[in-house]
Amino acid sequence: MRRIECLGRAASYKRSVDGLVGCLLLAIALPAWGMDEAEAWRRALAQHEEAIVRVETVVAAKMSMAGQGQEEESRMDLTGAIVHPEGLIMLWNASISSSRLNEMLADMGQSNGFKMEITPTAFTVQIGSEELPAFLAATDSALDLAFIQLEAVPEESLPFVDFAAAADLAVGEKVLQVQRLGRSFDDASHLASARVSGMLRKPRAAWMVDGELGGFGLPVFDLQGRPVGALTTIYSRAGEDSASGFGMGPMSGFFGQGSPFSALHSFILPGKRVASLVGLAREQAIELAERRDREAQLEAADQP
Amino acid sequence: MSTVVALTAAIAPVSSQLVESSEPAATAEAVAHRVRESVYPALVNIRVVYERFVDGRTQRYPGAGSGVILTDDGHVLTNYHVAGGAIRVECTLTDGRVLPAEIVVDDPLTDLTVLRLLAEDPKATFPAAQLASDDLLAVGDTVFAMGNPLSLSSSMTRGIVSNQARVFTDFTGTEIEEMTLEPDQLSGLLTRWIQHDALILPGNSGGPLVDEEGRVVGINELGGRGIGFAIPASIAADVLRQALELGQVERGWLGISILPVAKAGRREGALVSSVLAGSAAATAGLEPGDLLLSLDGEPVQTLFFEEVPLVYQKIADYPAGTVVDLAVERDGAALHLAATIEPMPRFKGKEWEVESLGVAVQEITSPMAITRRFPDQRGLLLNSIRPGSPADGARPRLAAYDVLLAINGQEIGAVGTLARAIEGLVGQEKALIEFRRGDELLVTLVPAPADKNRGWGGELPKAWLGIETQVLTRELSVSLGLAGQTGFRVSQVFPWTEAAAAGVQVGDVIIAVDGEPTEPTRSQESEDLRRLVEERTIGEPARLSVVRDGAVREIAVRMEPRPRDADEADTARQETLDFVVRDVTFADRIQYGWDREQGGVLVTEAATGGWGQMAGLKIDDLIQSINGHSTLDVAAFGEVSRRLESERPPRVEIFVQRGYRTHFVFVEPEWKDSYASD
Repeated sequence: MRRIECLGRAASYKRSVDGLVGCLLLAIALPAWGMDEAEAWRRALAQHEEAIVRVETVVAAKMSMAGQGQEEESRMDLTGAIVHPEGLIMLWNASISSSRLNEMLADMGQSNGFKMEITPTAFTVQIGSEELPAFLAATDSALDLAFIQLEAVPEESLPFVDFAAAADLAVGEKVLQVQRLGRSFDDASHLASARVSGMLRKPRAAWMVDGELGGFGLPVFDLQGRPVGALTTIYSRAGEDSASGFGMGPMSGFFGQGSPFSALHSFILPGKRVASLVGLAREQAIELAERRDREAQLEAADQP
Repeated sequence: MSTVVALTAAIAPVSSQLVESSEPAATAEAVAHRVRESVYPALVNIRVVYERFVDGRTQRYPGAGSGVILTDDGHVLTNYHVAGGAIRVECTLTDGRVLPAEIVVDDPLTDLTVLRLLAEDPKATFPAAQLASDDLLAVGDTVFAMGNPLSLSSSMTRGIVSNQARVFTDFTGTEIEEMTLEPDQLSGLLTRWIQHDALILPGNSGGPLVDEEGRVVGINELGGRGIGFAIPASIAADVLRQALELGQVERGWLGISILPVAKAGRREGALVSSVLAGSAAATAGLEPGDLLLSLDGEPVQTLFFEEVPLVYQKIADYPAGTVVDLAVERDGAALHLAATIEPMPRFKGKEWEVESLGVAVQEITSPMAITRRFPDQRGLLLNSIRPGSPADGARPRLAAYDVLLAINGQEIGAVGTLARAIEGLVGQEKALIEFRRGDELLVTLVPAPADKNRGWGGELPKAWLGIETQVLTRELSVSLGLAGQTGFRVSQVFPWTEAAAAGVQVGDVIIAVDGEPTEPTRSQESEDLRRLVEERTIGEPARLSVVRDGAVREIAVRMEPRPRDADEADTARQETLDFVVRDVTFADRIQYGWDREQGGVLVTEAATGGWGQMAGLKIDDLIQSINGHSTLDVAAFGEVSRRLESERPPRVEIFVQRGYRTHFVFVEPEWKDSYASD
């Protein structure tokens, strides 16, 4: 079954060296591990499910136009990935920030003074049976990833996805994501899969997939369970774009081809790029934690 | 027109003709003038600030209506739905004086509120209108409505009485429609409205309905589509009398509902349709289906719905504690029951916001406990929860309409118990709340309030070049005489940036960064330069190779961090005035054309129903000073804000830049009190 599928793909990628290499790697690698694909799925799930956690956040959304505004807070559940054993967690930035939306509205020239600002005001991370508070450590709006840091560093190292050990991808390779259902279904972990279908070079290097993985901000693994990237969105400001195929469906459909929303696509950001972001975010988290501690101490000293 | 006026005068109302039968008939115009002279000076335009509790927080709104001065020491009658429970009342008299007023009595059951004007001179007197002591009107009588329609200045309209004792039944005519001013607040039980066609509009509420003699015969309450409804003078007079004599309104209560007897095939008595459990009537042994024939020997007659309020009025007139003989017919047999009249309870409980917990809660009155099927009145009713608040973080979750019974083992009798328990939590401590949901008794843990003011991380640092560029395609290049040289043409150089300092100019064509060629040929490559720059190290110079005037030159530009976005700027909230500001960013200065020295803080949020928003503070206002103290940035604003909270001035003057002009916003807040006195 695996062989047939791979040969089929190989035929469609016969002019693509990447595709051929990918299929060959798959065909050779899987028997070498002595397991079939189902076993690979089970291993990936078991290996990473503890690092995929539910994050509850409260966001304050402010919308304004012509000097008048409306604000409301809402609580929502997200799924994040622990990417550092001391409690750094990666999230999809667009779920807690309006910067991407505002950038696109500005590019559309259709904001008509409309402004939207989404600000997270609280984070709680569900790790095992505990709910632990966290703070926003860093964001990268362009790469659409955010990082939160647990307020208190856990005594024991947390299970985490190690992007320092990120593997490369090739067209044709099958990739997996570990995701979680919501509270209503016991936060059950499960896998989603897709196949790498192409490579993007501009405006940024990234991989395309042939289906909907759907877990934005979450790691993507190869069949060996190694992190190969993170599913994210990339927005191209190049303009004059009427791309199709990977557009963020509803947005693109609503605003039409040629709108900035048709220049917003989902991609796998390569693992090495994610690793560098994790490093920077971790540095910023430490710096911020120290500053917060200093401020808290000063505040406490001010109390009568 | 004059014919119509004459005709109107000719068919002057019967009651008026009776009163002034010895005088010559006045023209309609003369009557109107007389009425105006009698009542117009006593008319007041009322502006209020009232509170609503939404999503676990207090929201304030402005309101307006009408009223009439009825005593020379300044007692004003208006509608409860205009001024009831208002936290601020201001009255404008027809002579132009603007005076604050205090609430003497709120009577939501009749939708009336009695105010007292607060003049600087306590002995000041006011022009007072005469309130009729009884209901004098008949169908067809001419009446005048006075008030402030659409909140404009005082007005007067004329009409006739179309029904002098109107009650509202459902369309099937089987029961009186229950009127509620707000949830739990029953109203209109005692009222037979005067229905008239003198035009009244929103803003007329609380204004007087006046007869041709210049007497106030009603207080306008409802209207629309050319029909108006006024509360009759007899009810208004009783409320005013009690307000003056007792400072409150007291009424008797049996706890029964009644229906007309006609459909039961009877001509006398009132059909008892329900008896509230535990009420005086229930204790006396009254039962649904009983025919109430008399009260203390006085016959009761309710053939029609219009007579039902009269029975309720009769009961309400008994002082609490009075033992009343109820003559009743039950299954054909005559009975006499002795009922001890109880004081009529308040229907709606008082509401509060408990800010530290993030909830709006309400006292539970006995009628609320009955209608909501609560076993007792213990605890506080949870009406709404502020998202993100400690209450929202309770596990298991709290929900609207839970009844909060105890916190940390202490019974919740007053709102302060809740507030103090939450405010006392430290760090990761949680409070244990016992609550009732339906018939279940549950417990939950509520976390301490989160410290939202502590630092939040922003964008990861990236190198930035303070310019905008466009892709110089080969075709464009040829057109510009650049011999097909492609690159990034500088279209804007931002002021105060390293690029500007290094001498980068509009029109320069960047062809390489640190020797790495940048030769885009298509618009799709417009972000290549940005990507190249982002890969540089902040603080270190980058060498730009640019073509200027046909020659290549090298420009060293120190890489600087990308300027902070609006959502990374420092912010501060003014708690009492309920608005948020942030520092001005680089992008703001570019967008608004402000120079580098332009100080101020930008309003990013003016909470709905907050004092700031209500006073007219707008998002994007650039606050330059508050009460004369400069607010150059968030730090300075914080100082001024703390000073305000400490000094609590009655008026806060905010000087703002709004668009191309400057503007003043005057805020008159209620400074927050603690629950210490609770």
